[in-house]
Order: sequence, then C-alpha cells, then structure tokens
Amino acid sequence: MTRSEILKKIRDNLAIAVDDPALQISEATTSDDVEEWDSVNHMKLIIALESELGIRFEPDEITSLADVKGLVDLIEQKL
Amino acid sequence: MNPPIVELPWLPTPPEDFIQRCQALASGSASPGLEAASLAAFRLSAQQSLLLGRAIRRCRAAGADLSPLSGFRLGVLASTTFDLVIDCIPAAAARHGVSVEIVSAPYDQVMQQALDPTSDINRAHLDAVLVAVDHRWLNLDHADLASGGLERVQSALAKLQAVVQNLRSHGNAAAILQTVPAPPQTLFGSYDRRVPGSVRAMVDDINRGIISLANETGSYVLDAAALAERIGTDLWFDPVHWVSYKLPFSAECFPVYADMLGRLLGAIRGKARKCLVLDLDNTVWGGVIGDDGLEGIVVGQGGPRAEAFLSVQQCALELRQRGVILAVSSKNDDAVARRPFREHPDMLLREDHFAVFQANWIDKPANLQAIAKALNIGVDALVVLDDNPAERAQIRAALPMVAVPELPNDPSRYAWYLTAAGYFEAVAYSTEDAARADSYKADARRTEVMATTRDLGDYLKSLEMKIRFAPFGAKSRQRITQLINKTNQFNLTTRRYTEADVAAMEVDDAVFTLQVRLEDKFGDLGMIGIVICRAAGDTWEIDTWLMSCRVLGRRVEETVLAHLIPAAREHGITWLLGTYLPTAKNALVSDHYAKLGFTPIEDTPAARRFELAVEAYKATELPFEVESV
Repeated sequence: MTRSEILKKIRDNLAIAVDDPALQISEATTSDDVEEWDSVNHMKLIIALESELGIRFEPDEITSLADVKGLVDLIEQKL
Repeated sequence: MNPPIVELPWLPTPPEDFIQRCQALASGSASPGLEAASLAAFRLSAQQSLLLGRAIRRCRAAGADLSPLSGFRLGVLASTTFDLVIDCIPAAAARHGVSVEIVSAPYDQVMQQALDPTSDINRAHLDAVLVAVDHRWLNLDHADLASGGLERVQSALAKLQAVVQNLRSHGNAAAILQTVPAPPQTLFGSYDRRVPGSVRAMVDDINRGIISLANETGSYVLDAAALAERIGTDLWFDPVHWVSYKLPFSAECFPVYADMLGRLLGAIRGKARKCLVLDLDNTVWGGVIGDDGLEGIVVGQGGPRAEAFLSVQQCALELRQRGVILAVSSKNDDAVARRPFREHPDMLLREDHFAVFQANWIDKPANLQAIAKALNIGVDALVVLDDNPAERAQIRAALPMVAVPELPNDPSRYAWYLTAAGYFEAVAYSTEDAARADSYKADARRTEVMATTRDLGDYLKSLEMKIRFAPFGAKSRQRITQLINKTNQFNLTTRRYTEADVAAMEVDDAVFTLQVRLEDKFGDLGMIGIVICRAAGDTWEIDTWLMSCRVLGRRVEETVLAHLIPAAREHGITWLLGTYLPTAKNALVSDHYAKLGFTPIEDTPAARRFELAVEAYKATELPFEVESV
C-alpha cells in the first residue's frame, strides 16, 4: 500500500468518525486542524483502521497519533 | 468449527451503493422506515452501522414517519467506554423492526445516574435502560480467596438491585440487565471452579443472582455471557483496548453484540418472527423429490448428508414445539411434495406440523404473501429457509421485510445459521406459546377450506363439527368462571360470577346450566359457550348467554337453542325469556334473540327483552353432530 493509499484510508475513516463526508486532509494535517477530531473520534479512527487494515497499535503509540503524517508512518511500518 | 458469529454470516453482503443509499435515506425517502429496515438487513461493519444509524437519526430529526419500525427510547448506563457500541445499535435495532433513540450517560456514571431522580437518564421518559456493567464494575475482577467471595457477590447484586429499583422508581423505566462473561485467565486452572472466591466461581454465582433479580423485578436479560462464550472469551476480551480506551470488549464484537440487543428490543416490541417457511428440495431433504423419487431423496440416519438434513428437521420441530409456526413454500407438484411427509419412514417432519403447505409453480414471493394471509400475520413475521441463492435474492428484492438467511453449501450448518440469526427471540414463554403452532394451523386450515368452498352451508358441513352439551360441573368450574369473567363481545348480559357462585349454581334446582364444547376436523376448540337459565314459574329467564367469538357464523347459537327447547319441556317450562343488556362491547349480539325467532316485548336504552313460546319453536337442520351429557 502506497503512502497516498494509506492517506486515503485515513481520510475515509476520519470522515466517518467526524461525520464530514467532504473532509479533506493531507500529511500535514493534525488534530488541531479538524474541529471534531477529539479523543473519542480519534479512538473511533484508530479502531476502524485496525479492523480495516488488520493491524494493531500498541497502547503507547495510540495516544501520540493525532497527526496524519505520524499515522501514515506508523501504518506503513506495520503493513 | 462454526463460522465466526462476529461476522453475522447469515446476512447478505451490503450492496456497492450502500453509502449512497444511506445518504439518500438521510436526505429524504418516500418510505424511510422500510428503506432503513432494508439497509439494516445486510452484514454491516461497525462503520456501516454508524452511517446507517446517523441516516436514521436524521430522518427522525426531520420528523419523518419511520413506520413500520416501532419506536423505542433506550437508555444506556455503561461502566466502560460504550460510544462505539452505541454507534452500532440503531442499525441493529432497525434490523429487528425497531427505530431506537438512545440516551446515554457519560463513562462510568451508572450509580449516580440511577440514584439521582433528576439525572438525564431518569428524566428522559425511557422505555428501558441497558445496564451495561461487567465483572470489573461489580468488583469481581480479582479473587477473594480469604473470605470466599460470598459477600462480594452479595454486594455486587445489591448494587445492581439498587440500580434497577431506582430506574424504576425515578424514571419509570425497565432495566435490561446483562449477564457477566467470565474473563479467561485462571488462578488454579481447572481447580478454579472448586475454589470459593475465585473469579470464575464468583461470576457463576452472580449470573445466577442476575437471573433471579430479573425474575423478581421484571427486568429483561441480555445474555452477554452466552455471547462471549460462543465467541470465545479470549476473543471477547481485549486487554490492549481495555487499558488504552476502557473498551468493554473487543471492537470486532460490537456489531454482533448490538444485533443481540436489537433482537431483544424487537422482541419487547412484539417484532420477533412468528413463522418459519421451509423450502423442501435440498433444504429439508437431499435431492429433488420430483426427479429422485421417494427412494432417491436423502434424509435419515446412516450417512453424513442424510443426518445433516435430519438436523434441519429436528431444529424446525423444536422451534415448532416452542410455538413457532411452520409452513412450506416449494416449487413442486403438491401431491409429489407431500409424499415424503406421508410415506418416508425417516422424516421427522410430518404434514401435520405445517400450518400452511404451498407446493406449486407460482413464484415464491406470491406464495409467501399467501402464507402470511392464511395465517393472518404480516410478511415481516416470516423467516424463509431456502438453499437456492437465486430464490433468496428474489424474495429479498420483492419482500424486503421477510427474513431470508444466507446458507452455506453444507446442510449440516443450516441449523446453525437459522438459530444464530436470532429471528425468534423471546422475552417470555408460556404454555399458550407452546400450543400456538397448533392453533394457527387449525385457523389456517379453516381459512383454506373457506377459500375453496363457495357455499356457507357446504363450508360448515365440511368442518365436521361435533358439539357437546353438559351441565356445569366441578371439573369445568374454573374454565366456566374464566369465560364468565372475560367474555365481553358475545355476551348478552355481561353478568360476572365468582367460582363460588358457579359452584352454587351446580346444585341449585331452580337453575339450569349449560356448558358447550366444540370440536371440528381441524382440532378441539374447547369450551366455547355458556348458558344459565333461572326458573320462575313456567318461564326460564336466560340469565347468561355467552359464546367465544371464534365460533361466530357457525350456527352454534341456533344449535344451543335447539338443545334448550327439549330441556325446557322436560322441566315443564313453556316460555323462554331473553335479555340483552347493552355495553360498550356487546353490540355484536343486540339482535341475537330476534335472529333466533324470539318476539320483542320491551326495548329501552337500558335493556331489550324478548320471549319465545317453547311450543312455537320450529326445528331446522343444523350442521352438527350433537352429543349431550
């Protein structure tokens, strides 16, 4: 899976979590840029990504992932 | 191994345009309730469930009428992070006929919300509150070896009891309690069960206590322990998500947990399915009866395939014994399709077990509608078991409210698919439920005959009715009293009597009593009528005349009169005096006596009186075989 494919997965699932079908993000986006990207929706995003991609994040990794680039890096490593 | 239940394998895969259909639903649909139910009938992931749930919420917010879904206001009190589970619930409820609105409390506010009369939960006018707590909240997550666990379990039950009682008294809401799954870790291994105070022993105890508490308080039970057990507690519990998010159990179990809750809400709202419709060839036996013949079809002992089909029949039969109606819908010639049920020695299912038998070459949706009509139930009460994927797709497309489980190739798994889907969820069970399949069968047969015979006289004759008359007696006293006190429509005077009154009449020479029983070729209808006459000189005053509405239009009342006349003569009676006392419910019988040839003698708003000279009665031919005791 390429970085841009991973980015699209993140976008699609984040769009559902924050209930904004038109959501646009890039690797530079962080949780501060998306109003509804709070801790509950972050959890929804992580769990959706885990089930869709068949990966698991470690507890330490999860808390520090509220930026898109870090998330893409981590997923790329796990796939 | 069975297929993973967490994947809801009995549901068909969602269509490509699922997301678009959810969006269309949210922005306004002609029949939003039906579309929501159709979309819910797919195998939805947590994400898809969330999308559909949001669309349903938007419909409701826009004031849309969501029928045929029934509304339900559900509170959720959880000791864990329940948001992701809640996301799955509205779609799962729609799958089971319910449009659910959820009011939830913040993380771990169970006690506070239940005990505070002004809490969000208690002020929300809820139909029921799910009390989603686990072994951790109940303080049963670590062993209590020093004191044997008894007090721990008791104090956990006391907490639950306080929650249930306060939800009832402050919020007037019923509780949905869930059983507690036992965590997989052991302390002693197999010996855990024998050590008082081990987590396993305490969880066993609390689960027994929860069932008793539910019985005592009229609460509902969601058997989470049974779900976790069949999934496997190693999969159910997820230590990483627990420490990271305080998720109650594995995220992959959320959709199936929500489905189980949806079934329960559906059952509470009377939406559980009532009738199992079976296809025949390659569903209840192997092979095609029309091609392979009686000797060629595969069913019975002695071979894996034969036993597999036997297990399908066994499953259907057990469902019938608990009150699920059985029907057949098969593309076959009627006589050919019936032969195995009549002649094959290894069949468990027999013709008698089916309320409706539709074997013909008409398309299945039309047959299913005919079955629902004959049984006087909606198509949304039907479940169809059919091995043919094309038939399944056709039924789903034509009748989206009919449940049609997917089936694997191997018939030895059919019963698993049928029962795992939870179509026949119950929140109560009585002996009447057990008898229901028989009673529907008889009603449907009677309708069938009615449809094929044009003439009422022929119809009544074809019923082969046997009527039995007897005076009141000790053995029937309870049933007589019950009928006297509950019959409202076909009741001329609506006079109520106690069991003691009825007993007194049995031995009173001035009172003539009559109980009427009816049987026809489809079954025994039991006691269906009661008459009480009080003698005054040469007159019998008809104090009570009531009948079951099930026997209307069968000329039973004429036959009762034909029996009263000779009895009156025997007692030296020359006049019958009939009274009609109008109520809000008995307009049905305002002309009862006039129709029987009585002459009106008084007509006021409070009462109508009629008389008949015994000598003036003219006998007619009636379609009954009469037995008199």
